Amino acid sequence: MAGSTVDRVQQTLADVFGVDVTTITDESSPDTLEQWDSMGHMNLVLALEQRFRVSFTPEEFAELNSVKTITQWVEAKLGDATDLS
Amino acid sequence: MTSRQTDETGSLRGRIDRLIAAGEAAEAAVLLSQVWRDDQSPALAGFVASRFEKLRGKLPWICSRLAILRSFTVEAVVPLLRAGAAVGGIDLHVQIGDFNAYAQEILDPDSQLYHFDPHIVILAVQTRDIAPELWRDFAGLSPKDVEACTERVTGNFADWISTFRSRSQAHVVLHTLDVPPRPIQGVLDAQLETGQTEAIRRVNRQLVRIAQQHTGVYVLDYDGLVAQHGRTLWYDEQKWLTLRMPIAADCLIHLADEWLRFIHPLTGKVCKALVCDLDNTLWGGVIGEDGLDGIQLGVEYPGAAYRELQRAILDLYQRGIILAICSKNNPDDAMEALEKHPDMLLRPEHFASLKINWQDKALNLCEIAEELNIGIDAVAMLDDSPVERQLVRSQLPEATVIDLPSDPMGYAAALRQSPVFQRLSLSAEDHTRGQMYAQQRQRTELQHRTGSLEAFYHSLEMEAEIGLVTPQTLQRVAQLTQKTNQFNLTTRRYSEQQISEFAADPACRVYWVRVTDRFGDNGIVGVAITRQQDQVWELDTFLLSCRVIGRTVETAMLATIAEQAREAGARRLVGWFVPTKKNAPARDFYQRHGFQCSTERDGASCWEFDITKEQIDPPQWIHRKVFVEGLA
Repeated sequence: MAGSTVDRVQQTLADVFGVDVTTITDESSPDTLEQWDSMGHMNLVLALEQRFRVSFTPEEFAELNSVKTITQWVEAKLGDATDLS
Repeated sequence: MTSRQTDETGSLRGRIDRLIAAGEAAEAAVLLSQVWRDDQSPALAGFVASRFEKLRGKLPWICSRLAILRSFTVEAVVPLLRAGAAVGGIDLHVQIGDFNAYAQEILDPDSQLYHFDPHIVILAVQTRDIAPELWRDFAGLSPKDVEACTERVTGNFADWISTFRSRSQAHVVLHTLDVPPRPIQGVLDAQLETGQTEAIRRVNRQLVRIAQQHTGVYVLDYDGLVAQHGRTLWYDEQKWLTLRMPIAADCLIHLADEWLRFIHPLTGKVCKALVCDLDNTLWGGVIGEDGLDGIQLGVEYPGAAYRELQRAILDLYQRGIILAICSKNNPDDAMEALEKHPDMLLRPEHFASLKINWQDKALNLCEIAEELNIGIDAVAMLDDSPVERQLVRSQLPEATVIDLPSDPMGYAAALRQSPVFQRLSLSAEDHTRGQMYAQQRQRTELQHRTGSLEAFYHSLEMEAEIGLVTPQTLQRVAQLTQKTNQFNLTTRRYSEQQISEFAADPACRVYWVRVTDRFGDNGIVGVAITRQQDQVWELDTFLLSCRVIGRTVETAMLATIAEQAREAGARRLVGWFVPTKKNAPARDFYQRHGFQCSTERDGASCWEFDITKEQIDPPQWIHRKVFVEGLA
């Protein structure tokens, strides 16, 4: 997928929650998105794991609660690799 | 997934949203299907399902309510399932039962399950939830304990299924229990008839028996599905322990696809005919250029891939799927390969129609559908060319186009996995359908020779057996109500269970008709269901398979029913004609037989016939045999 990690994370959120990508910001979180409930969170993490080919521990799972932190975690896991899609 | 593909997906998302906003539903659906085929991922499932939701009511979808009763988290499978269903033309409304509350929901007559009134119920229970001792504590169990456990579990399932069936007509799809990826006793387990794996398989064999004792209960080999994809790859232990979600993210799609293989036949979203391309599909290479000796087909690589595909096609033929060919080729070249190549498994006699020419494939498909007397939505196309597939998808969105991978070694698997050719039961007719279509070709030739229609009817030497439904004919009768679209006056779909209920009702009669002629047995090809109220016989259902349309069998059936109604003391026959997109061939049926139109409502018309004053003459060229012993 084209673009920076943050763009790709935002697109993944938009896809999973079925909303327009322009409504997603760096600050999007369970508080700002009604679809982001506990089941939504599970679907989101599965989608991130599958799309970015990473995996999250149960501890990390609970911390992935905004676009910003998700992007940081994904970038940390991807390391220097720029295109793993 | 390549970056190029996802780039395209990115810009396609925008186009899809613009098409939806502009009200271009059909075009948006074609693009959504394309996006989904390129990337069937959990992330994209959300996008595809949400956009299809916006098209609800604007596409010719079949709606179905599905309840999932489960012992584990299935929520992540649902977007994948709904996206796949929508692409296949099914608008699925899904209700998920409360976590691990499947037994309560079945047993409580007031539960959300029954309020939802589902068409289909999936009962997805894992071994570790229903029989933790078999899964986890097996080493400590005595053979007696094991037996007690397997009996408890099978007894539970038997009770739940019976209770459910007493309250609902819905189809039930029952998961088998899964075998652990690593048996507790290691390699010893396979040496013992009293092993862990064997104990679980014993339960699964009982589940098949339980399903057979009911109508509309089917077994999904969940353990086989897990094994097919690899037990160690299937499970994600961490997700299980934290989310009660046992299935790895990459395998969710496989469960969704397997569910769709049941949902398609259960909603009637299946195809009757497979139309095959030739070059690079049934064989490798181009017959017109490579010649008979140059094409790839045989038992060794690379020809084996094509032979495997032919075997898969032949398997469909033996299950009653009609085969046809649509190929851009010189007919002589293609026929030479079909007739003479030593490694061909498929021969000209397997095909009910051969379109080997240079015209547009969409046009050819329409002609094939017309020739076979089936709707274009009952046709699936198998073609190696992505360009031809795209063309047919855009021009004939109702037709099914099967995707083939770029590597021919994957062709046979792609066809075998297709949901539109799945069947949950086989009738005697299914086994011989291909042969019947070959006979049909001969009949058409005869009609051309005999000239007058009456002479043709006489020359067919038809015999119609008419009887009441019996346990042996129940399945075929229900199948005909579910599948017949053209000569069907009311298009009411009934399950086997519902047909049995009609048969048990003293006011009702369920008739079938079986037609044989000089070319062979057509099998059971017609159904009529009547309901008597005072001196009126109402025709609830009256239908005829397209196999025998145009041969006056309907008149023979109607004449028989009129005689039976008269014997039962009735004075009038009454029947509705409910128009659909496909039943134009039945439109003038009542009028042709002297019925008077009494009422019209919402496009439907009600017709009456006074049997005390008039009679319906049976066609003299059909020899009728009437049996009136049935289920009741």
